Amino acid sequence: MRFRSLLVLLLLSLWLTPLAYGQHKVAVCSTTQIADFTRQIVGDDWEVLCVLGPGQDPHSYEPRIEDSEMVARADLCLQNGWHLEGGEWMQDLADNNSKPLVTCVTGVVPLQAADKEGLVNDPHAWFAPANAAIYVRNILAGVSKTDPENAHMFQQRAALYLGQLNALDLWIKNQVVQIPAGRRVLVTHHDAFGYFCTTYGFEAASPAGWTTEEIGGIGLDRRQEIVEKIRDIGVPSIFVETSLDQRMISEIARDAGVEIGGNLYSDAMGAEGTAGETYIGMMRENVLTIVAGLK
Amino acid sequence: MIRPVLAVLIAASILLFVWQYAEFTDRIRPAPVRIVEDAAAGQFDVRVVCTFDCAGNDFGSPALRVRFRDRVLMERQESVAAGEVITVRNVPDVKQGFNDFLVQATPLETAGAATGAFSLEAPAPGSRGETAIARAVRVEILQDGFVVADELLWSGSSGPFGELVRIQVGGAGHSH
Repeated sequence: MRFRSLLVLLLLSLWLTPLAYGQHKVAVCSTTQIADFTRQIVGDDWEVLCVLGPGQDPHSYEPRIEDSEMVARADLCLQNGWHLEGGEWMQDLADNNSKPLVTCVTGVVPLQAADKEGLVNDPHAWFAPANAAIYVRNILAGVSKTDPENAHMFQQRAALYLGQLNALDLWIKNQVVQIPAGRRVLVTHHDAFGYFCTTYGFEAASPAGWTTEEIGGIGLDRRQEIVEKIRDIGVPSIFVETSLDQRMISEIARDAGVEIGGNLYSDAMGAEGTAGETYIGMMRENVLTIVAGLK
Repeated sequence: MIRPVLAVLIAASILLFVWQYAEFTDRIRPAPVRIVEDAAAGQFDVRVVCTFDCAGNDFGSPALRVRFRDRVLMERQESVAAGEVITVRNVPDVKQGFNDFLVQATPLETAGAATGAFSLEAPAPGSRGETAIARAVRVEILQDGFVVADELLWSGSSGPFGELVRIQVGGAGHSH
């Protein structure tokens, strides 16, 4: 008798699970940072999917058929904006599937970055926690509109997370002040760290500009120019971004007579199980690396 | 018989050439960059006064903390009253060029919703709001008794906040 009851319960739960699962709304995010922010707000109430995986470069990404299938399931799509998603691939995916799209940089005061076509808005705004807070507020508005029944819960979670971002901001200030101000020059391959540098009193220098397109095909003249520029800047260490070709940076560092200060998370966060699998973890890891390299 | 010997000789020559090339490139590599920082002359003091009551919280935020490089110049966990002037005398290790001080404060929690960068409500551009205006920290940095920096740090939030205050002493930031 007991066995039969257990069997009935088991079958019932098996039948109910997909139904409950099917009720979850689905958010599809372009980048890992936005997926993390969204997860912090919606918790387990939504299914949060991400087009890019850890370490993938959003500037040069080309969407696949599976991405379109993923977006077709979405109740809400979320992107960074300001051309981070090179060729506007997230906008296209959302438009092609007629899905609402939240652009997270809305409301951020942009920094200007030099591009081939002139000055453009630097899209790497999440590197300042105060801008990350703007992302969180934009995502909160988007998910609350899509799922108004759970909006009060999202608001509570967002308020808690914003408190964590405030603590992160203070922690970063306590760390970076340990680097003598004259040494606070952050040299990376592409200038993803402009907002970070502006917020925390660093001078940003990136010899190759803000796109990652020329990473594979850098000529000898350009390389020599980069080496000389690094020597002119006069820092003891330069940094490698995890999503880019590390071999080339190592060679340039050797030619310039500087050390590699460490690897920094830039356009994408780390894999599951690493310190960089969340935004806060990624920022902490980056700051520890920078402080150790420049102190 | 001569062909294998020739092959060995050519291979050895190539290896020797590669080894010598590597040695040569190592020799012409530039010397590592060294940063030399010169000590700044004079005595430096920091004076801090808050327009609000501060109190440390259970999450490790002190009521008031002043930090310079890897030194905590002053830290108070207990409350600091509004208007109390706190002075840190003779700050060591100030260098020629730029120097940053971190001043961090935790306002005693007030009623009403938080505003500012880390609140749920987006702050109006350029506006600090009445609540925020009531929460400012005045930081003065003195060199030999003369004020070289006088800054107001604004708290837009009811939570802990902190800002870097930068002074420039003498000429260049650093030399190489």
